[in-house]
Amino acid sequence: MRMMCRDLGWGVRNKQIVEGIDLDVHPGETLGLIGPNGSGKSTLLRMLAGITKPTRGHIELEGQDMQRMAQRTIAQHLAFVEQHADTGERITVRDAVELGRTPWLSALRGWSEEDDSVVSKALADVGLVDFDKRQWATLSGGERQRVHIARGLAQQPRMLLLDEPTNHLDIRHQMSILKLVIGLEITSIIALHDLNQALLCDRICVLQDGRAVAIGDPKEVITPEFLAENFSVEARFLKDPEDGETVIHFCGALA
Amino acid sequence: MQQVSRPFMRVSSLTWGVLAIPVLLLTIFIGASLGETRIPLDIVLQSLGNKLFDAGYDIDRIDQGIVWNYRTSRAVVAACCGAGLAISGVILQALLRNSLADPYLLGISAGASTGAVAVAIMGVGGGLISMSAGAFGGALLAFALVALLAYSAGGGVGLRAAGIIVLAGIAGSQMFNALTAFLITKSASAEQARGITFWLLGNLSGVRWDDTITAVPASIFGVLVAYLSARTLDAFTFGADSAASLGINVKRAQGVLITTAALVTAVMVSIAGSIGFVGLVVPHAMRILFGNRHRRLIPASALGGAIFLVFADVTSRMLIPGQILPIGVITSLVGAPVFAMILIGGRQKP
Repeated sequence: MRMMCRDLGWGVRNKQIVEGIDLDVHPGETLGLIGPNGSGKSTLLRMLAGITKPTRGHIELEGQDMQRMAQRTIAQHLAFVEQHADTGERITVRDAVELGRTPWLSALRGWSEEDDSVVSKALADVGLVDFDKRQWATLSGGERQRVHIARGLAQQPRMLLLDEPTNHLDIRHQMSILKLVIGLEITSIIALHDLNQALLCDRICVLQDGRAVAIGDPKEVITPEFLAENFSVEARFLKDPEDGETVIHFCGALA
Repeated sequence: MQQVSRPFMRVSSLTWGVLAIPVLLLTIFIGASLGETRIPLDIVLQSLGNKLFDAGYDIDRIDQGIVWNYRTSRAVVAACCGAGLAISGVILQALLRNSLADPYLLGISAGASTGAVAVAIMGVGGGLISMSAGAFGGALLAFALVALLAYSAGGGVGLRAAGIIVLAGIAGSQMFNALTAFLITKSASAEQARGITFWLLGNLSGVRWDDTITAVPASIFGVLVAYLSARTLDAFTFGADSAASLGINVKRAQGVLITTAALVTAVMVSIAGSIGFVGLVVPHAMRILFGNRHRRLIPASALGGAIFLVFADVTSRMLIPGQILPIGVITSLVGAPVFAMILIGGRQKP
């Protein structure tokens, strides 16, 4: 799905958290949002998801002004997976994924067989087929993240937005979640912390102090000079002798 | 734990409707049959027959009066209060993501007591308005202040931080409770103070058929609004942001549903005082028995609250001969151990 934003900004009182973002999201791509802590990744993502209303600029979804779209219509176009959304309620995995059908249901259009199959497919897509009846409270962090992604997929969105989906997961789950998201056919925007993971995205957008300082192919954008300037780290790029992939080796923090 | 065999969303609401109405009628009938004065079941039936269908049985007018004017009206109002309070509890617990939320959280009970005291002791309204009208006014005023405070403190962002409204409610309740205490200490006689305390604990003894004029529509309205918003309430399972990303207009949903809960509670409080425990515990008990999905939780809570309060009222009339206990005392005395049993029985198995 095509998304475009111009001069996008959000601030509280006299502090501007995000400003002047111009971004074109191409259909089908995986766009990584990277930047140091407090650079505005989450805020930007929440604006793109239609949850935080921008204080400046505008966002267009398929040529339509998002500000004028009903929340329900936005939810039919894009799904948002927050960081650590948790619940104390005793629901099953399937219950949680079924919530994803909410934007498509109404008083006139009740739950149908089709909704059942969408939910089943979403569970299958994230590899949780046998988890149907598992209680939410019994899931591990990686499994919960998968359930959230399945809930997003059950919305049948044309774009998926994820806020640091690999945060606090062990390395195996980080790899599998990332592989899952990048393998999806729909457009996705992921806020990421790990720069090695960012190398796997089609394009990245680098935020620094609320501004987009670079947008493009991660292998071209992320260079040792760039990392020194924007992330204040000294880094070297190594080639894996086995598969030829580039790996960033962080040597130390710069003063 | 009970495994879910099929999605809650599909469970037929017809099943509930078909089941709920006879159960409710039976409960009210039991409420009408039991009391301190022993009235045989056939007389009870004949009294109801006379009143409902003009059957023309020749029975003692006093018995008929007790059954119809005293017990049946009380049972109907008790059922409405129980359903209304339980539904308000469900709504607030779901929206505020706080399992301690109860209908009185929004300052309604405190405001109602101030309003009632202002009428009863200070003579506000010059005898033209009743204590319950005063209570209703006080409840709405308190809710308006709490809502305003929460809105201003939250920067008008639609109460994303549910904690803000809880804090605002506590502040509002404290203020109105202090005001009530102040008025009672300053102006009330010992007799008035006792009457007010009795009323504050929840009390159905003054209830007559007139009260059903507000109680019945208010409870039906509350249940209906909540039931039609069942999916919206479900969408708040993972919080307000998650609800927004599922296409819910969070600000509007919170506004409509919290105001509904406040109005229903204000009506019930103005009729029966602040009956504690029902709005907090019935929804939790029903969650354990029927799950968290609101399609089932809402009818279950409405029915559970109604049944619970009718039986609590019967108990309050019969427990001590010659004396009626405040119903709030019964709801807490009976409800707390029952709830403890449900909590223990429904705990998550490893």
